[in-house]
Amino acid sequence: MNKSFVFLVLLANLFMVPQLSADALTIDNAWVREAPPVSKVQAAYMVLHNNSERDITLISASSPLFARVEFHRTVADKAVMRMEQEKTLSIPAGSSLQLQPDGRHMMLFNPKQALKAGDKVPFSLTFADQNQLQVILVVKKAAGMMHHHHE
Amino acid sequence: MTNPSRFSRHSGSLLIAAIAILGAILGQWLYHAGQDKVPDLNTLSATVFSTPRTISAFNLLDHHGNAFTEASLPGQWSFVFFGYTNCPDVCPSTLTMLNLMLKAVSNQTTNTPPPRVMMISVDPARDTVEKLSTYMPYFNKSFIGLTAVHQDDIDAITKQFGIAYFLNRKSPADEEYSVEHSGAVLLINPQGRLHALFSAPHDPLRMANEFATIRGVHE
Repeated sequence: MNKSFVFLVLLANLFMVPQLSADALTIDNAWVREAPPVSKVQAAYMVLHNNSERDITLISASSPLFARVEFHRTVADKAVMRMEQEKTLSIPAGSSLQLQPDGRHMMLFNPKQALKAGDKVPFSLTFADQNQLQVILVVKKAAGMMHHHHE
Repeated sequence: MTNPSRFSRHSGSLLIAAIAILGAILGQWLYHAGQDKVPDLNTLSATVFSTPRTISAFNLLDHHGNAFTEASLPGQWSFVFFGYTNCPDVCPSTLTMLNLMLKAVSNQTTNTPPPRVMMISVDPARDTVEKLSTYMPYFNKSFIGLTAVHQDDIDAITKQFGIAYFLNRKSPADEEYSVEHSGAVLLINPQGRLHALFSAPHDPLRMANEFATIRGVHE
């Protein structure tokens, strides 16, 4: 598990109500897919673990490096790949939600700068109870692209 | 030692040698018989058309701005995928998969020319030649991006390939629309005919292995 590159920072502990803490929600395997320089859209993936006894609902995400972040799910319907927007992401008590290639992902619109593998992207996740969690995701090349860019 | 015993020991060694040689010959024969047997294409995950389909006229532009038509197809095997560059998940995944597949094919055979890999944009309004010229080499410098001047030019090829797609444009001003599109990868043979279809989900090694089988049967 690539927990090492995910840094969870609690923001404004003053505003935190007890049920959401770094222990209640842990995130691993979090990354932003490096995209070709002309791409106006990118995807972010992560696995969210709800370690608490209450359901957790993620209602929005934002990043200063992107104009907008939406939750999407890639659906294969009779061989046609479609993206469905999801207003919220819920992580039931005691379970995990996977955001992964060819499935659920965060769709990142209009990067404000070209991002390369190794760059760090801050995200702010807002939950239904108005708690916020700050996370930093690292940009990575997708599997198989790791040794590709030797010029 | 007497002559007879020496003779019998000698003939014993001869017998063993003869059995060994016969065994080796039989083994080689069985091996080659197995090799020569035509693989059963029905066991593949790919759909191989019993009669490769003729591809009728189309008129596209490659990512260097050169014309690319049905006459550009013969001469080598081509993998074709339909996608668009404003696609955050499926298209980069598929192009990454095709890059791995191409590497696996190159590792398997060095004496046959590598197949071409092409992405035909189903979103030519946004996917200009210039945009594709930056997008495609990111995945592999040999990949070819294809677009067209008019959407009708794309339909001329999607219709004959049976590829469904839909532009999810919410309004004429919507520039961030997503596109629903087939995840299939098509294989065109060196005669320029549609030969096989790989349905999603894809696995690069399986695709490389099945391509080797399909090519072996065809050539």
